[in-house]
Amino acid sequence: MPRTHNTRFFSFPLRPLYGLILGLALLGMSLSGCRGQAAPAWPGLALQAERLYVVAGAQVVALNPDTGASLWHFAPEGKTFFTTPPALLQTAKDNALLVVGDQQGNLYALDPNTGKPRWQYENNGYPFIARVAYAQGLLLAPSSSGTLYALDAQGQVRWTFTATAPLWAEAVVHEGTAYLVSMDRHLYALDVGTGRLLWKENLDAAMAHGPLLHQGRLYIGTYGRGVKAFDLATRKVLWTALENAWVWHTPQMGEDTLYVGTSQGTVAALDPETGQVRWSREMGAAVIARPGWDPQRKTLYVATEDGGLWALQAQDGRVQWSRQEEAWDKKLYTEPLTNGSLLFLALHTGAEPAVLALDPDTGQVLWAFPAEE
Amino acid sequence: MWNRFILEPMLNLLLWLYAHVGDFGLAIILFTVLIRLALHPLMKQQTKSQEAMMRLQQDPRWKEIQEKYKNDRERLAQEQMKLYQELGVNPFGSCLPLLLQLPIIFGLYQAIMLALGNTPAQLLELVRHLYPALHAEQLLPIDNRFLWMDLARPERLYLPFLPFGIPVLAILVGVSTYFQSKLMSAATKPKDSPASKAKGKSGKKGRDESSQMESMTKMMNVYMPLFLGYITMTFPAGLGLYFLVSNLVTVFQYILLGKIEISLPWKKAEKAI
Repeated sequence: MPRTHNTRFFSFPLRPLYGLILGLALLGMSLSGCRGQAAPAWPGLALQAERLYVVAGAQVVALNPDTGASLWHFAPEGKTFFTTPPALLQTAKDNALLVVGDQQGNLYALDPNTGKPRWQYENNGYPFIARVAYAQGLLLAPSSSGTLYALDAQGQVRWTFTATAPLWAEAVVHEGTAYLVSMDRHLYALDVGTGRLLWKENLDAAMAHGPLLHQGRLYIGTYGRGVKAFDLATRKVLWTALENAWVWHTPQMGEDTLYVGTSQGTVAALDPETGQVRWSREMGAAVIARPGWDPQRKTLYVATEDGGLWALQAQDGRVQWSRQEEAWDKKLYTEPLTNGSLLFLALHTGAEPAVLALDPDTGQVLWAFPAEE
Repeated sequence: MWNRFILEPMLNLLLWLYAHVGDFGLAIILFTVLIRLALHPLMKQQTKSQEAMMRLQQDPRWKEIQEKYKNDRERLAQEQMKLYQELGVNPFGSCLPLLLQLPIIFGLYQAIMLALGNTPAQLLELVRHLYPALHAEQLLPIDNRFLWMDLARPERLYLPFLPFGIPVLAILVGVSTYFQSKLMSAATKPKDSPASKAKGKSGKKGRDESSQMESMTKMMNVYMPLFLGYITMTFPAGLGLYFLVSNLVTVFQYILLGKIEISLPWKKAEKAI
């Protein structure tokens, strides 16, 4: 009786080879499949009159805000993942840059009209996380290495400043001073011209999102320590609200009210003077994205992580409309933006850019990018 | 289920260790040692079963039935099962402990990777898996620096006189994996029994199987160090540190089990006396 097909198939010398390949494949699958890390970043949006810029995965796209038609598309060569929101910077009267950073530590300065790269700056491989700011002719680019790079409009480094932990938060500038919060629990004040450290204060909270500057105060969302108001004149924390809350965004300022969402699922309206809660609302899911603000309608747009979108009346938090689109099957981590006539929402796909344009009065979808969304 | 029973306990243990030792590299080392030692009884069982299996394959009766029933698979299986029972060998005895260890080792790997997240999106994922008692807000930020390494990034040692970085950890992982494999294959290699040395058809078949095994082991001894070295070069250094410590602990476990004899200078002196 002849040997079975199986024994012949695995006969020497193939058997050791198959065993080896199988072993390596299993190990490779387990290493790649169980990496245990989420997608490194959430999508980012920036809006101007003629264009809506979307950054997600390895792509930057510019869309016509009225129609959703793609105007240009930028995807650098090689493997990358953009990790900063797009920063639209007016570097001269007739010159602007669209700046985005990636996980490999590259900053790309693009022509906002065409998407063509103007220059590229490469740091030592640490991801850029924060939106790049612009002041006094310098681009301020915080890096997760803990270094803040100040570059001129041509991409040349003018100075650097290094904190003791990753810098994930956008710098804000006020009267020649750049304010920077860090994961090392400190608020740093730097001279914008030179990068010299003017002072630093320990706020006893890891901070990963840029402060909101308003009337000489910084409002800062923290990890596990609520929201803090810091007075720049006295260099003192004025108040702390929503203690123990995890805030994953820069607080939003409405007419005279500060709005924040928490990963515990609450949206709160705070008195900017005292930090007292004017109203709060349980959203049923984590609010990671910064609430969007519509000054015309005096409406707050709250995106919940589970895909819910809520239009709340700014004065009392009453629901004007809400949507929970099961079909989206996407999480929401990005601030909804409005130009007055449309409300733009970036969907987290983990890779490709995906945007919806909604009617801000009803929440009805008017266009989607890509179209099938 | 996986997260609740495997990943989260391990992740929280890792970060609990970090909270106490204050150094993430040391926490990974301690964590790896603890988990590997907790798995030691399973490894012991696996080694015993492997040895029993190898002894069985050297048994003349095993070779006899292989030859006798080589064209009758069903009968061969029956006879093999009889022999297993007679000699008290469980054919799955070495697989089961290995299978039990695998999810824990994957969980350990996943816990380390999750803890090394270096963006807010990855931090959110990490925080979601932490127990409230750990007070994540006090733990942050996790300091990924250990010796010259950033554990969240692929490791390179930069020296002032060299224009490139040396992947020291990848080299250490490759070398330690090679020596660990060599030591293990030497430790579990069956000693030649008189039967296996016997001439004849059954002896030839036995030698064929043995040479196949040896060939496979040799290939694994070459490719595994290269593969793990490459993974260490391209993945965050925390993972490479885990590979390195894991290799060293495995060698230590084999010494504990008496599978590797180490000749210490003072022992040699004792023998001489």
